[in-house]
Order: sequence, then C-alpha cells, then structure tokens
Amino acid sequence: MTDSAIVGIAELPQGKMPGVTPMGLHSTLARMALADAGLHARDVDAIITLSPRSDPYLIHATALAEFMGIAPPVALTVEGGGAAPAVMTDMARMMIAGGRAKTVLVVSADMPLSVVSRNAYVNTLADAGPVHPDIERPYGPSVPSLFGICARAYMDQYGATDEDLAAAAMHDRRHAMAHPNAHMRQPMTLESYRATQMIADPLRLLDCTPVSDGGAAVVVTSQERARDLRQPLVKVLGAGFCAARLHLSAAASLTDSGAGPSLRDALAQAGRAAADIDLALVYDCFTIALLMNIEALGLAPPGGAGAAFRAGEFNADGRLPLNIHGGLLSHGYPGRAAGISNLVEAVVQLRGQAGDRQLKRVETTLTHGMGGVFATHGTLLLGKG
Amino acid sequence: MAMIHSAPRGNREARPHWVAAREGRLAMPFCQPCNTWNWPPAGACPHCGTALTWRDCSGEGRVVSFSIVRRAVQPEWKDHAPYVVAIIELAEGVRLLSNVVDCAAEAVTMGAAVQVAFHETTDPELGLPVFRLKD
Ligand SMILES: [Zn+2]
Repeated sequence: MTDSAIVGIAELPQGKMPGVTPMGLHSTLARMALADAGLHARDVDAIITLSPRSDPYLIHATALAEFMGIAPPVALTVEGGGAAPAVMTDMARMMIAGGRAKTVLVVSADMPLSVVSRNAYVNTLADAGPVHPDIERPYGPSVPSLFGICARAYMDQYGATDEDLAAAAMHDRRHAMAHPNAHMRQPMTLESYRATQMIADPLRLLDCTPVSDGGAAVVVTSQERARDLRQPLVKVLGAGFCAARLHLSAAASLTDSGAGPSLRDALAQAGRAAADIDLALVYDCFTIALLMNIEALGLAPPGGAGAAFRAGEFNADGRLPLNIHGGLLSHGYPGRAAGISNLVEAVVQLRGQAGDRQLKRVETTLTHGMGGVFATHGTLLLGKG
Repeated sequence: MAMIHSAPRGNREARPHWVAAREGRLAMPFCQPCNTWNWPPAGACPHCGTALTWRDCSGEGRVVSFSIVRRAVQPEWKDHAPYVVAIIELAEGVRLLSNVVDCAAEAVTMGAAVQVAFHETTDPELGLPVFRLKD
C-alpha cells in the first residue's frame, strides 16, 4: 500500500469539560490537529468521525463539517466500537492510497460526563452497549458483570487473584500521574484499590474505567506530502483487524481475548516482527481486558500479565513500555471515543515530543483497540520516519 | 423474592424460547444436518442454511462462570442487587447467559450443577428460563 503518515494530532486534558459543547470540542480538536500539521481546514477533503453518544446527528461528520464551515467531499461517520481508531486510520490510508482524498481529518470525541452524566451514560451502555437486546438483556447484566464473568473464568483458569487485576490498575495510574492530559491522577495502592466497592464480582470500582469528556483528532496524509510538513514523520506501517462474534453469549472462550490475529496481520502488512515493537498501547476498558489483551497479543504468556506488571516489565524503563499514558483506566474513557488516546500517545512518543515522559528508544509502536466484550480488535503499527 | 421480569422482545428470533419457558420447557434451536446448537438464535443455520428446529433440553447444566451484580443499572433490577449473572453450559453442550436464583449470591461456585426453573414476565405468553443450584 502507498503508505500514509500521521501529520497532525490534538488532545486536551481528559475529564470534566464544563461549558464545552460536544460539537465545540470536535471543532477545537480538529483545528488544533490541523494547526499541529501546519494545514488549514480548507485543505481537508475527507472527514471521519464517530457518532458521540452525547450528541447524535443523522451524519455526524457532515454536521461537523457544517459547524466548521468546510465542505469536504467525503464525510463518513463510522461504527467500530473501541476498534474505531484503527478502523478510521485505515479508512484514511485507503482513501489516500486510492486517490479519493489527500488530507483526511479524523475526529473522535465524546462528552458522556458533562452532557450525558456518568450514571445516564452507564445506563445507556446496558441498553445499547455490548448486551444482546434479546437473549441477554432480560437477565440484567451490567457491562462490568460481563467482564466480571471473564475475570472469574480467568482467575479460575490461571489461579490469578485480585493482585493481578490491581497490578494492571496501579500500573496505569502510576503512569497517568505523570501525564498532563490524564483524567485520574491521584495515587493508587493495593490497599486503596481493595477499599473501593465491588461493582460486579470480582471487579471493583478501580477495575473499571472512569467516564470522561475527551477524545482527540488526527490528520492523515501521504508520506510523500508529510515530508514537506512541519512535524517529524510518523508513518502508518500496518493495520490488522479481527472479529469473531459480537456478544459474550456467542464466545467460544471466556479467557482468550482473540486479539492475536489483528497484530499478526498488522505485522505482516508492516513487514515487521513482534520483537520490533518498543511501545504498546493496549485497550483496557477494565483491568481484566488489559490482562487478556496483553496475553492474546503475545506480549506476556497466558496467565502471566499480572506478574509481568508486578515485575515492572511494562514500565517506561522495562522490557516493553506499555500504556505509559495511563490507559483508558486512568488516562480516561471518553465514551465512544475511547482508545483514540492510544494513537495520540504513540505519535507523541515517535516524534520525540513527550518531554519528561519521552522514551529513549521508540521506532515502532503498537496501538490496539477493542470493541464490545472481546468482540472486535483493531491494531495499528506506527513507525518513525 | 422471585421478580416479575420485564418481558423479553417477543417478536424476534428467540420467541419460541420464551414461549416454551412459559410452558415450563427449555427449548433451544438446533440444526439437524450439522448436529449443532445455534445460540444466539439465527433464523436458519449459519453454516448450512437449514431451518432450525427447537428442541427441548433436559434443563440440567453447570456454571461455566459468573459475576455478582452489586450495582444494577437497569431500573427494574435496582432493588434486586446483589444478583448472579452466569454463563450456563447445558448438559446438551450449548451455553447461554442467565441468572442463578433462589440462593445467596455467595453460594454460587464455578462448575456448580444447576437445574432450570422458569420465571414469569410481564407478558403472559412469555416466560424466562433461570437456574437454581442443584442440592
Ligand atoms: Zn446447519
């Protein structure tokens, strides 16, 4: 594939954004990302968005274009769950490679905290989230309980304990504390983790993400054109996807996240090996999701992710730096836009613009997103130019 | 404390399942040529296209895994927490999501043997299969 580059990014501090409207947030992020790239809104010839739960439109991307006073010929609003960042970036690549567009603006943002309210947002997840409306909903499963079912199966299969879950939560929190855009930045210990209430056994409050206002924007163009723009070159090396089913009732396994083929295909497309990856940003809507996704991606042995966290293997100075932005668990969970921050952190690190957080060596990054309860996966590999 | 559940959607593929439950039967969709169960239910076998037939199951099974909902989100469930949501594997080999009822939530264990029971819903034609721990 004639390949693409990420030339502009924008992210604001995740958390509560009082006085901001969802469309205002989208527009601000879009203009910040274009300015970051040294491009203008009139340069955009394709725009891709998600439909925010806080602000639905018939065609959200077209509504955003109207709001920004631009009229790009292509405006698409996609449904990809938590795999959407990879979906949107890959759609941008294909449009660029196919000649359909030259400058693709991707905006992924939502305001479930300020506009919908935390409780109302959690309620909508039970109705329009990963719960099957016919065969599961009558039994009252909350989203945490679906992940709780997986967590208990995982603990039973591997002899894992709440210390493994807590290790993932504490890792994300420790790194979020050093990130200026992270939502949850107060210290977490095993004691404070255990002191939080059980939501859906064996998952406690701190096994679940917060609900945040936030998101990010990304500008994609051709690598050839990117060389003339102002930022260090960040190439899109490869993308991979996989999906086995949507609902947990149809899952063949409760302990294999199924993410593996998405990385395998991304590596094949990129012509890289797993050993080349020196930063991983893995989707973690719950602690158990982080453990299972890490293992399915082959970044830790089955049942071994908790121990790897405790040994510091995923720290910034460890074997494989992972979720050093704090993950969804502590960087933030901006509703439908969850996961786009994984992409932003990879670009910031590849550019060498992470300041105090900058890793010494970053050539190839993995960003993974997941839709539903281990239902769909999208993995992107980015590389330094 | 058996609750009257809101009726499941009665005009979709799972209707025979809910109607059978009202009659005290646990019916699941089966493809005879493929010799496989199909759940969640599709209109026809996804593998061979044959129309599915609804077969009664024994109602015996085991808890594959479960979670105890402490904080319910759906309004009708708010007063019923804590309650158990579980993946049940029936003796016939097919898995479904349901509740384990009529026991303390903490009494449910991995692999526990269960037996089907049936709850009423707000629709007099539709019942809901749930499970009880076997003695
Ligand atoms: Zn068949």
